[in-house]
Amino acid sequence: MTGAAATILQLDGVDLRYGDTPPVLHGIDLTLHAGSFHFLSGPSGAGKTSLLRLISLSHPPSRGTVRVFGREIDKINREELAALRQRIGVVFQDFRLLDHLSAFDNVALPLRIGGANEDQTARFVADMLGWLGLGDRLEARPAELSMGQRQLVCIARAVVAKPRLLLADEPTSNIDAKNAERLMNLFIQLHRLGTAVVIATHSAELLRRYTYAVLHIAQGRLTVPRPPAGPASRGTG
Amino acid sequence: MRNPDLDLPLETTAFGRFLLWLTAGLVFLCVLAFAVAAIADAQLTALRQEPRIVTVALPPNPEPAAARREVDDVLAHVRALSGVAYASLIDEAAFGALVDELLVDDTTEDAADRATGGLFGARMPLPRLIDIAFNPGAAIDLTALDQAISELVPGATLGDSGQIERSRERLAVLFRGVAGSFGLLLLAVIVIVVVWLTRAGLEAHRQTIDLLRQMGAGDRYLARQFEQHALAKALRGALLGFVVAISLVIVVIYAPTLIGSLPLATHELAPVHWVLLAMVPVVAALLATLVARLTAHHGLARLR
Repeated sequence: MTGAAATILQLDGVDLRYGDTPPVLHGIDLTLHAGSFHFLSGPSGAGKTSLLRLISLSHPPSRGTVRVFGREIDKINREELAALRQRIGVVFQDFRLLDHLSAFDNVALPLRIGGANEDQTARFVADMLGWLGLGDRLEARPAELSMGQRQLVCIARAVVAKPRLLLADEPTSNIDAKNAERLMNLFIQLHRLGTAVVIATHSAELLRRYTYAVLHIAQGRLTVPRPPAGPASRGTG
Repeated sequence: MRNPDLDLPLETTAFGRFLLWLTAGLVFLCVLAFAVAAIADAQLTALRQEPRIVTVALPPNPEPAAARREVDDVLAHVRALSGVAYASLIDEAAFGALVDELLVDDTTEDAADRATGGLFGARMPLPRLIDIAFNPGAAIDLTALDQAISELVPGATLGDSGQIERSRERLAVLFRGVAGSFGLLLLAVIVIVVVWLTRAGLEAHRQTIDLLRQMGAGDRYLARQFEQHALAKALRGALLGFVVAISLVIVVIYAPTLIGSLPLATHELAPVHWVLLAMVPVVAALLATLVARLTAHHGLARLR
């Protein structure tokens, strides 16, 4: 991370709880800068997905302060919140593709929501799906795709609008090694273009192979076992 | 490849499945209700365009000169009133003959009397009748007229033969009011149905809404999906209901005339009535669209 890079996200003393249950996240302090790259590791149920939900503005904090793109989310209205979310791409572990839409239309969603014109949308989506090897599956519904293909469509949807913050929950868990490497290269390219990337993963192989900063979460508490290595947290492939 | 209106799979829930048919049914009934109101209105207009006739009955007066003077006085008074189309004395001989026609049995010996001048017309004193016709829409104060005539000719009475017309007028007003109110009630039912279906749609697509919100969809974007879907469905349903209903209305109004039987609707609708009926599906569709949008907005605000 560089001191000069813009702050994308800042969490100060954040707790997260669902309803009346005990907090699933305790006293989280975290700052993400533009162009940073972090892995988020931790055992199942430790709070990785909850932290991603918090960062993606899906759930408000129970305590503490969340600032995204310089805006404190408790102090913004619904339309402003929606505008901030347009700058965040999320790769869901369970894909969350819309079954009634084609692969093309699923990937086009963020662009259409953002108000992109249809020519631009068609070009970006076709390029993205073509690059991911799904150029001949544009019209396929999710049910007609393999698990790996669905994951690729989900990833394409998350990155097609060139988000400034990309959150990915186990993005390589359902795809082969070759595609996993291509995806990691895609994430790295985005991060080099200034997107802050956070990848939640169980994969020791990923953590070993790429030397980016690691955030570790256990029992709802965040530690930083491997801090950012240098300018923009460059990793190696 | 694309239809940006279909991010939410609204076709798969009650909102998409039932809106078209419910709108079609309700608009069908609504058009029929407004058609009844329009027919009643046309009837009312026709009734109000007919002149109103009242009859003054002057008691018999054995003095021919005095009797003539009484008639002249009443005619002069009545003709000076505003809104009077005409006032004339009914021919006494013709009146006597009419009374004979009604009351005398041809088989009796009274028939012979008629040949000699009429039983009642010749022997019995009959009141003198004056018909007064008022222009359509003229403001008439029958009480004041009755009083004035009584002062001119003591014992004179005023008979209003327009009672039946006024009963028909009241009936037409009642029909117009009830049918019009029923039509408005059906429009209100459309509102309720759309509110219910939109709420059901919001609930059914909660997860998809959350996902779209995660991608940055604002309430306006999401509400527009309901709005556009409602417009497409309600417009199709409304047009379907309208076509069926208006066909029925045309059959009811014109078919009896064509086949030579008594028409159910005695007066054709005016162009303004047809225009108003044609607006029903448009109003229903726009109403459904607006209500879907507002309900979605309201519901989305609560789904935060």
